[in-house]
Amino acid sequence: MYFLEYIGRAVNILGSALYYIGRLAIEWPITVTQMSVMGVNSMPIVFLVVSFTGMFLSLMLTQQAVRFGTVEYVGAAIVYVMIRELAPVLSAVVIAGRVGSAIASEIGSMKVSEQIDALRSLATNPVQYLVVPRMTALVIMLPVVTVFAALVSILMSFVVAYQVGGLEWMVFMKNVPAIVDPKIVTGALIKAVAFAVTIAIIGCVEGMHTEGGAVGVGRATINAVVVSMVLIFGLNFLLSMILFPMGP
Amino acid sequence: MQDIDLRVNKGEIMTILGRSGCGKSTLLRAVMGLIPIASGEIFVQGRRVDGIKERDMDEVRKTMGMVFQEGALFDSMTVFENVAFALRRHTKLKEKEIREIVRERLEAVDLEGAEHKRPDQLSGGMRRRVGIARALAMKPDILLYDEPTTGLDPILTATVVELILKMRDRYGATSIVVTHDLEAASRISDRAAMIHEGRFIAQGAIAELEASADPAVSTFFTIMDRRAAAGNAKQGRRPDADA
Repeated sequence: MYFLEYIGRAVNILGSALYYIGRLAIEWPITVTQMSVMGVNSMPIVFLVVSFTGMFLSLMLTQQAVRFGTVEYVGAAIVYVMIRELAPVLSAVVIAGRVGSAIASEIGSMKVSEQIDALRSLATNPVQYLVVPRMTALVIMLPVVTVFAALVSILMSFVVAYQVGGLEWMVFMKNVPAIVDPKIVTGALIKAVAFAVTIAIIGCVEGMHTEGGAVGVGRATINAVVVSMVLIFGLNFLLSMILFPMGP
Repeated sequence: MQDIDLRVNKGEIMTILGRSGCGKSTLLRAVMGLIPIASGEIFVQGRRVDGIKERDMDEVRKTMGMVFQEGALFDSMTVFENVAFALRRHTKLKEKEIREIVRERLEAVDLEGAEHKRPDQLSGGMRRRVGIARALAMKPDILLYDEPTTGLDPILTATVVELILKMRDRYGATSIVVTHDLEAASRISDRAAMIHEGRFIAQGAIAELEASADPAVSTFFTIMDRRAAAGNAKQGRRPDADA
């Protein structure tokens, strides 16, 4: 029952948000601020996480490739996995932790201190004023962060491949054109948009329905992160099946 | 809540009395359209508002102002931004005109010069006064006050009471005040209604309610009178308690 109620709340908020976005009733000043807070400020931590992941992947693959004499496939494998799966997923997971929690706690605090009711009493729809700018900002910024995350991680993977296996840039990139086509990039961007909507909506649902004072705000924050992360991984699997049914 | 039948006349201050948790604030929220009602009808200035679309209700809300118990100020904004909020969103006034209106509203609540402060830099009484200034910004026809004096010391209570009267006299707003503060109610009310266990059990002038034979009404008045007397005695013993 609670599960259905939760889905109902999410669909309701998403529907209202899409209504305002469709009418271009977007609070651009707030959206631009949120783009900076959610996207630009998240970049360092996202880059750090994807860099270490790429470096670890490169270390593992290069060591084995040197053993089996298949070093020219290391770069292609890393670029493929990074663009298609890891850059979108890891960027989304980091942003769910950093931004999803912030959305839930900020809106949750407003809910328990009657600020949401105050907004409504001032003839302002909370979805338009709070949800739409956050969702729009994330939908714009998460794909941007993902693209940069992929580039940074590939670069750092190459550094490790060069150090461990002595791979030159040309060798590292040799088979990339054969395996990475525009569909992979498009698919990654579609995933990023889907994850952005998920993080924003879950954070807002948790925030808007916060009850029970400070404890409730804490609970909403935890729920926002946990639910978003589970959905990101589940959605990633589903989207991978739909977007890449026959492999690359 | 059941059997609620209340009519508030233009320019009147109607007080809703009752013990904590009896449904007073719920009634106010229903009038403001913040919560749906299961059955019945609510009219605001002749227009039926229960069950109407949120966007239509927003138009009605532009003619109303609500003062929340703890102020409910937007804590990411300054006092100025709080009071200017509705003016910026719902009017085409120039920034200079908005600044002038905000200054005038803050002056009305004796808070001139507090424009740049943030809510966390204000005392409870100041927050409530900013809340009143914010509710007044659009010069509403109707003002709803949710427990405006609860938790305030006697001096601040008197200030808020004066403000409510001033707002009626200065702006001609119709007011509904929810409170269990009998002393404040007796000073501001043109009429009062009492809620007990979700029902209206008495309506009329405060003096009429005080003379009511209904046991719940007389019990409420007795308890509140005793509390007020105890509070006054405490003040007398420790005159510097609020210093």
